[in-house]
Amino acid sequence: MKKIISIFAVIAMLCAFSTTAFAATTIDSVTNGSNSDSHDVMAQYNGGVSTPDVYSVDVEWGAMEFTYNVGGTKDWNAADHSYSDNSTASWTASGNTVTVTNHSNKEVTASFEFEALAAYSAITGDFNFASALLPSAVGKTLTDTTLTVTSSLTLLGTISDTLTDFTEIGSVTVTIS
Amino acid sequence: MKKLLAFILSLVLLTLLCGVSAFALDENLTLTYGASASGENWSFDGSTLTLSGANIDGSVIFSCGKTGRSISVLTTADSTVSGDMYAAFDNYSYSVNYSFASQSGAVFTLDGALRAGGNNNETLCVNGARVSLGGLNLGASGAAESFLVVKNGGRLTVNDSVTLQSISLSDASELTIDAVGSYGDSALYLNSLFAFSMDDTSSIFLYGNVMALSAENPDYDFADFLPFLPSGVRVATGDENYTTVVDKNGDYIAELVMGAAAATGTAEEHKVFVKAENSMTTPDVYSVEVEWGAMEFTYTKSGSMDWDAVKQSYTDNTTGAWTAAGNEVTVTNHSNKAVTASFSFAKDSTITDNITGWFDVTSEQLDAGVVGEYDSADKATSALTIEGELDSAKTAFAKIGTVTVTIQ
Repeated sequence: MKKIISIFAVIAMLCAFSTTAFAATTIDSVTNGSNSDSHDVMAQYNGGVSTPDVYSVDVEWGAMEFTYNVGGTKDWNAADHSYSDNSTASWTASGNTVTVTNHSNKEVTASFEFEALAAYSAITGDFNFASALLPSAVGKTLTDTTLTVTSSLTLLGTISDTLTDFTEIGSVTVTIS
Repeated sequence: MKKLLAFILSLVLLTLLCGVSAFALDENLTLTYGASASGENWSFDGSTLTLSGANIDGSVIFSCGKTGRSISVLTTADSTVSGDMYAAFDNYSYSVNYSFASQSGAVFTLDGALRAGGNNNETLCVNGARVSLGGLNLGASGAAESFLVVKNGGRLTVNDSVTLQSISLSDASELTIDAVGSYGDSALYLNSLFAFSMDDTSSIFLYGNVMALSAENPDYDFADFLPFLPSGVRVATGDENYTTVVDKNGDYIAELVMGAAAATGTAEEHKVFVKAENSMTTPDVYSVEVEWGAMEFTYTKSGSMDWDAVKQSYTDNTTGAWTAAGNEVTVTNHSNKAVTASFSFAKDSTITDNITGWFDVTSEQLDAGVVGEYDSADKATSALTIEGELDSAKTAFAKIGTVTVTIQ
């Protein structure tokens, strides 16, 4: 045990130089409770991290094969030598949907549009969702349904009964913005 | 007429009994112990010789018979004896204890030596008296124990070498032994029984060498006296016969003065040895300067968080780094004792961030300060490193912890 004799008074002396960043104090005892000096430690955050935008959208196409079906009868009318048209027509589709899934870290808008070729301008097509806003995938699972939209194409109009094989009549465009 | 004859006869008888002539002060003065006598400027009551302006041109002899005696000398006015002062015994030598006292600062000067003449324990006590002796010889055989006591402001000067076994100085007393010019310039001969006590109000001036009679007693060792030397004085071993007292710079000390009121003397070219029971203390003083850096740290995060669309998650390509403004603590020891400085960091209890801190120097011993070398005081600098990741919300300086310097 050291013999302890304190002579000097405690001097708490702030540094008087050109900056306040430094300070000097004096410890004049080795007695527990009076033999230490403390100083606050300060910290701050300086952010410099970038988060680049990444767009990644899956588009899943249906076959986009449509069949124009004509049924019923054309009945001969002997009295006036003509047919009475008792037929019916309708479109059936094989894969008329387009599914768009947003895997981006930003939200996107998916737009669906059908455009007929000039030779088949009498045919029109409508998507049940012309456009859809898909949220950012950040924080969402791969199977999150909110990231996906499926839009179905419906064709209107007629085609010649000579097109008995699948023939391109137009195109479907999905636009991401 | 008969009365006159009877008176003259009485004087003659008294003279014969005392062996002195009351008016013959230019001769030896022999005083028979136990018998009173008086003369011009002196008187003797059988045990105490009183001197009041006496000027005795001869020796003073105390006729002590066949037993040891205690002899007192009281000086009431400055007096001198040109010869020696000693005790004379019948057939044998016995011990004598002298005691000198003065009134009103009167000085007793004995040009010759004060001799005890005995062969056993003998003492000279200077009790408040001012006494100057041409020599001092207690313990005639040299092996006998001889004690010197100077007390109550007594001032004793011996102008010759002295052989003693014990010296005691107290109560602002002063002893001067000046052997310069005497054979061998030896001021004080010490023998194996030497003992010395001296309080810090008293002074001793030794002009001359100090001789140790070590050859007579192999147990005698100067090193035994070292703890009693005053602070700042060390003993450097000389040859086999003497030891030199030198100061911290290696210069010899021809005089030693203890006590604030002590006078200073001068002497040169003579080695001196002094032993004292030193009561002077050197209190421990602790004074440690702590110089703090600003202790401001900045956590900078850089790089990029890259989106992995396949995994639909971010890949962290960022790095974080700490920079510091003033992360050092410097501790300088201005104490007269060595200290140990310890450095520690404690995270603030409100901080949940995974932050730690450590000093590169956790503890270091600092040497005691050296006289006259303030600017080169021993110091230690320790740097604080902060690790971990700071909350990005702390965009302004906020307290994250405390650093503590502990001195032990």
